[in-house]
Amino acid sequence: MKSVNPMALPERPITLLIAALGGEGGGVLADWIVAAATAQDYPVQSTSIPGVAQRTGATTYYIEIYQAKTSGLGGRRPVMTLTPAPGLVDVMVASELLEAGRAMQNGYVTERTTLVASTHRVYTVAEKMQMGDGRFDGEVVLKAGRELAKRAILFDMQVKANAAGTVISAVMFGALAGSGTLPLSREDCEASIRSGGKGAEASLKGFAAGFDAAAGGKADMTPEEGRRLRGSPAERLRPIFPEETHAILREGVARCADFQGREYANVYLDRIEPIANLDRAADGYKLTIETGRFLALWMCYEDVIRVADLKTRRSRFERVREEVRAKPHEPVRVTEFLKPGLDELAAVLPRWLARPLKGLAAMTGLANKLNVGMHVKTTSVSGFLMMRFLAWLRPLRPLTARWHEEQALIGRWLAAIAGAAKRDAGLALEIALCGRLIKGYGETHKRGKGNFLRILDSLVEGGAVADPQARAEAIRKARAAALADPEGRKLEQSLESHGVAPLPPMPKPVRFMRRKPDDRKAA
Amino acid sequence: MRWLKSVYTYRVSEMAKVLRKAMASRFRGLKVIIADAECQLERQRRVRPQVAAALNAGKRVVRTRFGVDEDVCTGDHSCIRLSGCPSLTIKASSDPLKVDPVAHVDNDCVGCGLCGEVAHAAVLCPSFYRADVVQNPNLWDRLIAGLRRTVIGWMQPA
Repeated sequence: MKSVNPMALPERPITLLIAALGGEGGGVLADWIVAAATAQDYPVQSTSIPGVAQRTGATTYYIEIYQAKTSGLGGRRPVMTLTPAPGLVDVMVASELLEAGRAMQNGYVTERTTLVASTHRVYTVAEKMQMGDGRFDGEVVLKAGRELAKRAILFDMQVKANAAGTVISAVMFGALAGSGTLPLSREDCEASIRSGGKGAEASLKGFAAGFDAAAGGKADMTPEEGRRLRGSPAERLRPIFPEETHAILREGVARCADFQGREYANVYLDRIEPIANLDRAADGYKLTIETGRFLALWMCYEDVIRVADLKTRRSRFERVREEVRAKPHEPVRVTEFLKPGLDELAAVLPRWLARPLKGLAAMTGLANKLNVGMHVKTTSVSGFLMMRFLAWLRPLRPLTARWHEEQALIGRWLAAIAGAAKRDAGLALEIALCGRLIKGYGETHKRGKGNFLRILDSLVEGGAVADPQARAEAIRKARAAALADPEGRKLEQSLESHGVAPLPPMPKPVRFMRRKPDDRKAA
Repeated sequence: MRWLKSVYTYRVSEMAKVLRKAMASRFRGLKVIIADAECQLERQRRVRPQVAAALNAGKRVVRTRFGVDEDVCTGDHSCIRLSGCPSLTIKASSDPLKVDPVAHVDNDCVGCGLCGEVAHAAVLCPSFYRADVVQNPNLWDRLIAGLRRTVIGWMQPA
């Protein structure tokens, strides 16, 4: 018999409580978890108490997993409990919003608990039987969940289950695995579903949807979800996102809708939702707020289409009049100073045209030499028409090279934030705040994006600093350094202090004015 | 004087071009560039009473000043790093999403246009605009302005 050092073993098992309604596959979910844990050789125990969900309470499944391999325990076995104790539940999973509320009422959701719950409603008998509208205000539950839990992962799992053609339990399992609270990997969980056999394909699809939503992976919307959520983005904002984030998110939604239409505003919310799910009330939802802020600004990047649009609006004409203090009867003529170059042109061309053009420009050294200085009078009919024509290109924007470039980089940034949020909230926030580096036009923009990518490559995605807290601090310092001087030397110094090989300083062109030798004779 | 060029001082890109030309010129010997424009502050002192008198007399006077579109400005302040103008300053952005202050031209602007010229020459950004305010507009001014406003109004979003 091997000797076991009791100090090295976990003091208590991970406790998991699942509340599900009849026919939702709560039992199957419990079985999956038990099978996955058993396959990993973890001691696991599961019990269930039947309930009458629509009247007094859901059927609950209680599971304890001891996070040490049985084979390493040397014959000893952990003692486990049969019933959950208030205040001692690590993960609370609820298949429906009111059941999540009931779990809170019973004291199962505390500061140690990760709450994983679906936000859809199945009305109780008490709600339905009222003479008038007896429906319970779900927002109260959402708010309480976010306040009570250590972390609250809340989204509509039913709609994802429908879209995948499966039962909600599969999506719940995915969300649970995606929450990162179990000692089980995604593969372990998927293997357990596969071993169940029947309907495994659909279950795996639902599992993936739940996993992505909880883990902050790609926010792909199925057509069905799309149809259901395509109401107004502003309406969607209300029940799902915490109140503290509404001010910024509402701005973001409005900005995106203004930039590229309502559909784009929905994309904005799709992107921010997984981040909100990883955020915590204790931090005042700062991560969601700051990510939401920079995400909106980034998604509404300033290309020529946008600039032309902003500059030709009635509100802008009025603002200029006010700013220059023109009296009502005084005509004001406005002249814009524009100097579009190859980059601006390439930005609005489709990718297949932009790439060779940029390559050609780089090869011939003309990249920064072809800027055309233009003084456009926006208040004249011809000038206005020219600008407005550019603005009318808006529907074609998703075909442009810049669009693809920005969306890809936004995806990378969000994935990094979501990945970090699961481990360290502070780190995630620092990564989110790096969005501030992306601004300006032309060279300034290129430099800002360069700095952003440098930090992303070395400190965020690279392993220059391992410890999350030290890494967050390093990113914070690098960001400040990037904003400290335009040449980027401070940033390189800051990165170098973490062992990142610095880039050579940016060359500053020195122009030699040389005269041809034969000119001497002429002089 | 065999090499002499006169440039309007406030045309930054012109000036840069002429300086470059002077350096690379085949000509050997003294080269002279006349930066030909009045100090704008000095000019203001001279012109201000005249303008005031003209305005009082009901004469047509065009007042020029510069501005920054705050929704186009991203708050990187490159323009301010290059231009030392006292009127080119910053203000808190009225956009709740933007954390950094945006560039702003205050009402001391004398309309020299240097800020816009610098932004133009250095290819910084499209945020700058020049506004010519026609004071005491005559009939023609008003007619044209009205016509433009109407035609533009047909196509203009809010």
